[in-house]
Amino acid sequence: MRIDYFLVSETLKERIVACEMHGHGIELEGFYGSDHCPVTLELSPSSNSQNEDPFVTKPLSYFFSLLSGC
Amino acid sequence: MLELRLVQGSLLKKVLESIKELVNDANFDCSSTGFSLQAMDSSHVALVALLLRSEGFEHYRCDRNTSMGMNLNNMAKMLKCAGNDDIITIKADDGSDTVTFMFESPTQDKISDFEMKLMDIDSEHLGIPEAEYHAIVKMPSSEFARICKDLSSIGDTVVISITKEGVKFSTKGDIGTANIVCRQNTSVDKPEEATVIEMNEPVSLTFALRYMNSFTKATPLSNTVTISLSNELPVVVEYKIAEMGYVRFYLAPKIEEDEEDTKPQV
Repeated sequence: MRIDYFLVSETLKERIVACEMHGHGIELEGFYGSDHCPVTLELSPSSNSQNEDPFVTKPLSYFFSLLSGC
Repeated sequence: MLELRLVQGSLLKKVLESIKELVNDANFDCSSTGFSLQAMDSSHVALVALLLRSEGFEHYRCDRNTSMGMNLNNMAKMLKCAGNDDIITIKADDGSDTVTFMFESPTQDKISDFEMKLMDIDSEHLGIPEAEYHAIVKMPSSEFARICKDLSSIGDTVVISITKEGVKFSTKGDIGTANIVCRQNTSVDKPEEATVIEMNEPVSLTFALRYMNSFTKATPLSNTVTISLSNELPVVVEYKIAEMGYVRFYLAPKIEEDEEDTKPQV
């Protein structure tokens, strides 16, 4: 059985809401993995989400293909 | 064999200073028509296209089409060692993995040669389609550089709007907003100080100022800059290089996210 884990940076640490291992105890209660015992990590939304860029930028190749009609 | 001799070597120095911030590594392509480069930034939203026509060189020998991969920072370091009045010669043997830059002082009393290792660079060559633009602005390059610098102290993006009234550059940030309007102005004494606007259709586009400021590193190459815009298409910012070519920057516009959702899939 492999052991899974998450690594987070220092700045992300404050946004950790929950980290749950799926399957524990000798009966593997809650287990739904295979050769892994899955782990989920829940992060809170970014605190500065209101400042997020409301625009998206597509790569140039998108615009060039528009222009050449392909 | 490749041998290119440029009397006005400072042009090449300025070219490198103008593109090295945008692109780390690039392939220089040499053919009988000229020395050229096309490269994208790492996020693929900006592209630089450089052309130095063969006629602009005092001596131009290119036996076969050649592509040379170079790290632009290293190349700029080498060219920094050339004096502003030096003649610069670029030399490479066929199949060689190095390129040589030779600098001759005007009086020929000092000759330097620097050899730089070439790189193998896999690069995506985008075909740049011809486009007709809704609006074209030609203005002093120093003025454009000043506008981009001033606005970037207020916000991160610039909205460029062109109407009959002129061209407006706008931004907003945490501390407030800024608008700069340049009206058409052709009655000045010197033609390079004029602002000329050709408009077929009003245009309004949003761009990241960070890239615009990178482009204005090319200001020393030309007194004027030409900005070509069409709604929802990349902008082209072009600086002529004396009589021998140009450096053109393409930048993808920023598209409002909710607008994008309502558009039909291409």
